[in-house]
Amino acid sequence: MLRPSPPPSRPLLSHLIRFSRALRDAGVKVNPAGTVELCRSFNFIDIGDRLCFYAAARATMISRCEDLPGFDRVFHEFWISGVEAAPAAGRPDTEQRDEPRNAPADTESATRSEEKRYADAGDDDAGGERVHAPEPVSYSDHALLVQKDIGRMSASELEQAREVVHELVKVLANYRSRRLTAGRRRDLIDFRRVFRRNTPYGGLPLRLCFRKHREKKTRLVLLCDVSGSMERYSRFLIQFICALRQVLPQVDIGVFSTRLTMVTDLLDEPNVDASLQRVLAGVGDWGSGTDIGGSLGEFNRQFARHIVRNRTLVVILSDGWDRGDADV
Amino acid sequence: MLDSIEEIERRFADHAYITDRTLATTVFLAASLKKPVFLEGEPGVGKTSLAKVMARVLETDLIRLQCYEGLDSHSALYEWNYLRQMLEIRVQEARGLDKEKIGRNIFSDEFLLKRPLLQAIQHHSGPSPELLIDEIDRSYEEFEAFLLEILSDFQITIPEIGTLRATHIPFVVLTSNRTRELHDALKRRCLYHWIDYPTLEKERMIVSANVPGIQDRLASQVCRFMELMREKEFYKRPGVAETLDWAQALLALGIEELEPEIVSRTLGCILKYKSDQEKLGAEELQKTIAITRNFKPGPLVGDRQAAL
Repeated sequence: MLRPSPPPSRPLLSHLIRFSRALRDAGVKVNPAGTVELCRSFNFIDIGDRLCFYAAARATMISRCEDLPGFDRVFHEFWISGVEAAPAAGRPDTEQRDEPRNAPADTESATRSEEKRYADAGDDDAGGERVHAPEPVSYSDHALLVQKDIGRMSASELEQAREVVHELVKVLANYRSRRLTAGRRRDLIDFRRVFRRNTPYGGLPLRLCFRKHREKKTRLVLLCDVSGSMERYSRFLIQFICALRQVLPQVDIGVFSTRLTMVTDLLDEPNVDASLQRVLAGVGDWGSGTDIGGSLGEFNRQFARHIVRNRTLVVILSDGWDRGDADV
Repeated sequence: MLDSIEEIERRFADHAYITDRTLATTVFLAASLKKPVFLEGEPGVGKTSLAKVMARVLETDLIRLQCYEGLDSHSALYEWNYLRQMLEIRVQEARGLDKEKIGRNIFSDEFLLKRPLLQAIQHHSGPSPELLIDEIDRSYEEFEAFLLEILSDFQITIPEIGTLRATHIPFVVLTSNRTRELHDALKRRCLYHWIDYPTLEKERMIVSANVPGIQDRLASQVCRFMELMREKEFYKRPGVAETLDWAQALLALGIEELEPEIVSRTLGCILKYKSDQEKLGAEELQKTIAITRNFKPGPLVGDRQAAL
């Protein structure tokens, strides 16, 4: 049976709230109801047991594995070394010294030991304020990578970038249409068609027809600038395109420098390096000057008619350095 | 019922699943607070196994919902057995029942196909079941929203029947391989636990518990080898499941010590992608085996808890 527990004493509660704020200051994404859940869990665990308390706090307050290192750090600083932020001059110290005396008599002994520790810390603080600002420990890997120049990335960052690209590509590729279409797999029975199809059999459903959600794939056209100024990025761009092709088969790719070459067929290799070799062999003007206007004009004239449809997205990857005519 | 964290650790160990204090506390709190457990981790670290062992520990049924892309409420919750319903009407007509009475009973329990979520809610026999929602990161976001609704109230409304409420709240375990980030709303509802690759000592304990008859020396070498493998860059890092497969294979072959030839022949137990196997060249394999053979393991002690 559960023992009915007294509500956590005010000092402990305010410590918990301060702990949750310290976590937020450190950049850890705290579960808003986590503090409440943690208090509820005190009914079941012995909070004097440090490991139990840590486990309970970890399970209730965070929900991402990236936050674990930051959480561990703040937990250690807050509950174990006893150092915490002094938010306003004077007040928290007096609070800590007064409140343990007013603690309700039926507090659990474990809570009392915690209070005592903080009361002591408060007494030590009497001399001056110890200001401790936890630095943001966790950062979003993605956000940093996005801003970094590809040409200056290290090998491990490139690897991370590649993973980010894979995720992005998956999101870009599909969107599930809400419209239903005829399907052969056993998803939903299409009753209208069933009745119509079975009228020769007197309405007995001898032949079934199914419906399933239509998956629409975006049509994409990528035009990549591979001129000299983009040399550093070309390799990465080809990798991005290869990843895209795995998820989105209907993508047409063209590379241009001084002129445009459609390289869709050349990128059929599963191995990125082989693809890159084929493209390099097939494109004559890799790494030379840029003529964006001329290349795009050529695309419009020669290829657009066949490739570009109603829902096609045309993306131009270039740095915009052009030697050609700006008006074209 | 589970009374303490130590009891959980003990009972799990009886079923050859080695937990640590943090995981046992999370499981204990989930059972006590009646909240779902959300387990995240790399593939092969023991998330699904935890759920299976938990069902054995709780001595209850395990209802499993395997998530996949395209999973919708019909496959997860319930579906009417349309065919049977239509046949029932035909049969009643053929029998010459009165026109008003035809089709009265077709929305009853016997024509309802109960899928896992409804099974979990309507479980009447025995103690409350365990509901395992496996690999939820493979489903669509819409399914998450739908699941959130179910997990909040444990009741569903079937228009033709009414509202069905759970008699006992099941113990829910959600697992994810972290191929995508799940919505906050769902994660907030659960107690979170990240299962990491085990430490060397822990993995030794796992191997000893799950591969009976294996010599301690071979187990230590296997674990050390796996530890070194996980530091390398592979497309798919080998998990604990692979360690156990490999240990069992070596035991079956009667191997006592790791040799380069044996390892390269049984590499398929560890690395499941050809590109990964090729990446591990013969030279590197020799070097890694040399390190494992020089490795002197300490005596097998109880689980050393993280120094906090």
